[in-house]
Amino acid sequence: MTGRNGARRVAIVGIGYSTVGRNTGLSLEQLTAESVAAAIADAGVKPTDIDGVASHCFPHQFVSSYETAAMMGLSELTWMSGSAEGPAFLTAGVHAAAAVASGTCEMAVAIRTIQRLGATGTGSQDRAPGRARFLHPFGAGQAVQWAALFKQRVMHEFGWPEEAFGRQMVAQREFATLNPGALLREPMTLEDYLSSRYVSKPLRLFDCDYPVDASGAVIFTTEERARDLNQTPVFVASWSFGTSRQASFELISDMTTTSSHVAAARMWSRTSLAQDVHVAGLYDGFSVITLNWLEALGFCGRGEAADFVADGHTRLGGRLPVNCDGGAANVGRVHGVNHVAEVVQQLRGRSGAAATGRRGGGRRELRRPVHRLRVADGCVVGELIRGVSRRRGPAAGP
Amino acid sequence: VVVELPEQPGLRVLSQLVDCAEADVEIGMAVDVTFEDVSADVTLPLFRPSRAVEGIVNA
Repeated sequence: MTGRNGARRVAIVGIGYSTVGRNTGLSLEQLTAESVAAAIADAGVKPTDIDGVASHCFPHQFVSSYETAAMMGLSELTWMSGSAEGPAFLTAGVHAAAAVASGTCEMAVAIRTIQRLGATGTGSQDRAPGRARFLHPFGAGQAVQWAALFKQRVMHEFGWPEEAFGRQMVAQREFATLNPGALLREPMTLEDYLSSRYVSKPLRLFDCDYPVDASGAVIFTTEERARDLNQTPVFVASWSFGTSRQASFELISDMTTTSSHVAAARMWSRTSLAQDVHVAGLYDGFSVITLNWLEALGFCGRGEAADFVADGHTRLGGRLPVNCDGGAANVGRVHGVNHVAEVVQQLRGRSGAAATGRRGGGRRELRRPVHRLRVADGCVVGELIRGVSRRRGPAAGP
Repeated sequence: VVVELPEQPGLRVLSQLVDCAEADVEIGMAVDVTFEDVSADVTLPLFRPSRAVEGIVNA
């Protein structure tokens, strides 16, 4: 079956994680091998079925596609992509989906491998190179500083209190308490959030994701191949990247209308599916980004994400559960692969419960039972969105 | 802080605010540039609350 512009329809058929932890002692290659092996087992394919590899790596944590293919005994590669830019895992995920859709390869594995140490180290340099010369000398070289600017501006524009962000983080922790694979599972209150320290005021420690050593892998293939495999296929309905016109975050004129809005609008325009979303995986490297995505995707209006969260819609039992694995603040900073993995599991229904290997199963209790979502399409959107799932056709209740 | 230069709307630079108590910081406040030598050959443009009062520029 072909989709838009004659492209082949693409399905996600396998997901897998490596060991995930604060100090695993595992090399980048070991982490990669674990996650790819887990995804291959989940899909029920042979390593030689895979002829495409896409990875997203920090430049200083690079594992090449050739190395991965040799390590895992994959087919001779007909296609590969190694990227250090774009929306982290989704760069690899979208590249892989596009390669399958276009017929460039038949089955691709997309990988995000990350190590905790060295990922955000400040280092010490006598001179800041390139664009960094406009940031580092002023103490603004790290993601936490731009996230703090982002949070500050949103609070100013919308008059939101810090509780607006805290409530989403509490909601995600509530999901994490039900996920045996989450690293942080102790119940968290709004008071806990408000008493966490500022890492770059007004950004708090509990606004941030949780740095870990981890690798995640997702296998994409054609609809025809997917029909013969282990898992209920989860089809990719639409994707888009988006950028603002400024290359540097601090130059953005309106931090409340971002590249996420651009990506979301384009994603919706590329699918005939209605906005009937039952579960969402929204990037949560910092809590302000998750709230921004709620508005960008049109789940609520501009400036309304705080109320949307406060009304309980994104939490357990809400009408749009968000980041049901607990999100990156609780399962670890895997840069988006967790959102795809979680949404895929939700769409598979309980059949996917054991698929994450060492991360464990522990499905969440959604108000709408997950098995009602079995006939479903997964939407993968850039720039930072990690996966939105939706049911096809008219709503079937309840 | 992100500072927009009045001489060219849309031209923004990221810098630090100095000589200002945290409680006194407000989004939209007027600031003046000040230069700090951090080494023999590196000087950084920093900003402090503007001393200008209405009708008198850079008093």
